[in-house]
Amino acid sequence: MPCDSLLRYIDSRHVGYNDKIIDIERIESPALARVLRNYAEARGPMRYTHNWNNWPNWPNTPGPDFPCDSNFPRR
Amino acid sequence: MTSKVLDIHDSVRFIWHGGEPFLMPLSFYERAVEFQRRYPDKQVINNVQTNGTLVTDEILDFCERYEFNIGYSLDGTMQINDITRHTKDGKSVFDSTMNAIKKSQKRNLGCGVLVVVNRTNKDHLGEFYDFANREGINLKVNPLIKAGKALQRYDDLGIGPLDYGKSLVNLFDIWFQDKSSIRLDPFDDLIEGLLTRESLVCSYSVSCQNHFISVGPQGDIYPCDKFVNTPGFYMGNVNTDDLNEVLTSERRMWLRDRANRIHECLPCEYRPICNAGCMHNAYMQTGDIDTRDYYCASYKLLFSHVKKMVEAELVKAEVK
Repeated sequence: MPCDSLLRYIDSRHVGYNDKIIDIERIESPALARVLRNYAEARGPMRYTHNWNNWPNWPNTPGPDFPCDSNFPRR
Repeated sequence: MTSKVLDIHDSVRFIWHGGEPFLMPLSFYERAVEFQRRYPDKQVINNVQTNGTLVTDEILDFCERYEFNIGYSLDGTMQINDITRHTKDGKSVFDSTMNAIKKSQKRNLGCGVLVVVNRTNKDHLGEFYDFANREGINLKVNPLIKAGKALQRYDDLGIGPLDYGKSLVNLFDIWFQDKSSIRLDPFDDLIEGLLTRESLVCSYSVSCQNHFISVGPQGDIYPCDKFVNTPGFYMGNVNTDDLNEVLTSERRMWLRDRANRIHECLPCEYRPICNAGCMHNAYMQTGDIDTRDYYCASYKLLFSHVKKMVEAELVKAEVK
């Protein structure tokens, strides 16, 4: 399902989920925080999955020139 | 086989498994690596799934040198593991498996433990999670499948969808709140799958046939290891057939399109995440891949629980 993600990278501390910005540091579940950190780390500032038609312009996110990374190598 | 796969793919993960893969001499793997190294521009990952009883320092040297990840098989703490995993004459293998795991950890080898959930350990997963956590061992949990050697004992050990689902939910709750959480699949992958709608687990992927094939010792090709020697699922032989033709064959395309043929899954809210589940799990119960995964009820129970728990956490961590 390329470029059809609810979750997206913002920066090393924040991810976007639907129309919300999530602060990973405030996640209480260590397991969930780790999954989100891994996600953010794997995407990095230049690699993430998103749908530009649906999302507003989040701060600090790269522009739509960056490709969908649905084929990003998995662990 | 190694060359033929690398001739047509840029990124390949080889999962060496058996039976017991280290019954093959180390020279077999050295030869495989030799072929892999002829493709320096390709991304190659090697995983090996073993019970650990034949793992020697020499094998670990090799795994360290060539970055083989090792998955060990344990179904629980010693008392539980001894019920399902033992030598032919009934002796425990727990200590030798743990010994191999500890040696792997000392070398910082990528390693984890695969737990097969069955009737004997379904109520003891939390206890084993605590043990694994203390030992710093990452876990992956799968249900017992009706294939291979398990066929002989499936009636005694097989687990139903509701029991499997409840076991997973209980384990999830322990893991989710644990302060020093180890990686535990399918939960790590499932959370990412729920949040991104990109399924990472083979059972839930859009089609496992986009990513997987299984090649047996004689070169026979099957859709995955669970189907090896299953009549009707033989796809060719890597030694005698053109692999590219096998991978693009009508038969494989038909397998790849399975999820779209299961209409009863279409209205399900979890359809984008599980993609009608595993075709072998469907086949093993009904003899027809075009039916729902046997563990559908387990997945629904787990997905709804995980979604509820994760979304509650995300709401609390929202930047206002």
